[in-house]
Amino acid sequence: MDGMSDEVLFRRYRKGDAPAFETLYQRYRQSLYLFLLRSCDSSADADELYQDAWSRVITATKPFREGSFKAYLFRIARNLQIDRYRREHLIPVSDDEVVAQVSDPSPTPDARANEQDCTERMKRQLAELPREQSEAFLLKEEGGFTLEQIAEMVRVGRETIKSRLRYALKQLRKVLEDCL
Amino acid sequence: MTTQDQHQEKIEDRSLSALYQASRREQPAADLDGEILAQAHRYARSRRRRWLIPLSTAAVILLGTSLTLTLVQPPTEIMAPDEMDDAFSEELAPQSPGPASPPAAAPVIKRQAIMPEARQPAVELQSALPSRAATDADVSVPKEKRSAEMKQQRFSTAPAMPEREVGESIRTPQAWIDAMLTMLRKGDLKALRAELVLFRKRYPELPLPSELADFESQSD
Repeated sequence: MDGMSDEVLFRRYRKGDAPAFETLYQRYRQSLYLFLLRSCDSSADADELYQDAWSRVITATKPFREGSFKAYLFRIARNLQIDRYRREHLIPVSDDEVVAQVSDPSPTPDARANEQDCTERMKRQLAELPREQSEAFLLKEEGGFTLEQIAEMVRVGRETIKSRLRYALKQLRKVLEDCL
Repeated sequence: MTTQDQHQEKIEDRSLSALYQASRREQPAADLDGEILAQAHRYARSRRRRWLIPLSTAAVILLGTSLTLTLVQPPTEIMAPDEMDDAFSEELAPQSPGPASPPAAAPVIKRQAIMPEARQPAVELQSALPSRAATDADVSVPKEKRSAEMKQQRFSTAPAMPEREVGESIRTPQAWIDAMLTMLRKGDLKALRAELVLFRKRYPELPLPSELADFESQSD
């Protein structure tokens, strides 16, 4: 079953083949979890959204119409995350918005001294990036999506995604220069 | 490095990517995995069952339809032996005077339906049968006795049908007996004798009604 495509596995699961789901779950278990964990304010939120996303997949009454299963799964997770963000922050989030602003991420010298581990600094820096930028970065790193796929998922232009990614990388490079 | 490569480099930073991949240590908790997989198994079971419902429904509908079709077929096509006896007895029973009804075509059809071999000689049988008036006049045996006698002859002791000879007309034993009775009643004894010989050749063991049996024993 490991050699089967995601789409075949999902079709089999929809017909009642539980092991097909287990294979799919193992394929995207960690990447989906990390995508949510890095996007959410807390691990508790990430856990909840993670379970919700898989639950939507499990109980889906119709097969997804376009794209791959992976895109379908991450789209569900992203939509859930946006809904939560809107509820908690009570502000509208526009997908078309091009966020060119870069927050000032520079930690204080004391904080920098405390961050021994580059990976911890990476996580911290990701959390401090504007949401749209970190989202584009995470979809690329965790989902392995191309610019076009991310643009389609986020429903913005390809150039917009490219711009968001460029700003994200620039900022990460700047802060993590000594780790690279 | 081409311009395109330089441009790609801006959004593809391998060292940053490697650093990020190194930070990927967190995993969903085992109980979270367990809950999700348990839910998936529950739904998989229900989906498997969902296929069974339409399948069993289709089977029930098919069975019900075929049963209904079988049960609602007109009685002229399928008659139980007892029903046929009753119908036959009614045909032979004296009728109240009234306008002349058409010749007894219905019983002929009934016998055809239950004995497919009798289809061809329907016309022959009809012509061989006495008219209702003649039958009514000649019937002297009580209806119940006659019915029981006929029933015994046709269904209790009837032997297996032998292979049909080429060129021989196809008719049921009962139709043959009816025709011979008619001959007896009309006094066509020569033809009756010939018919009896043929009948015995084909049905050596089949009992005959008392009138014909008497005639047969006298002829012997």
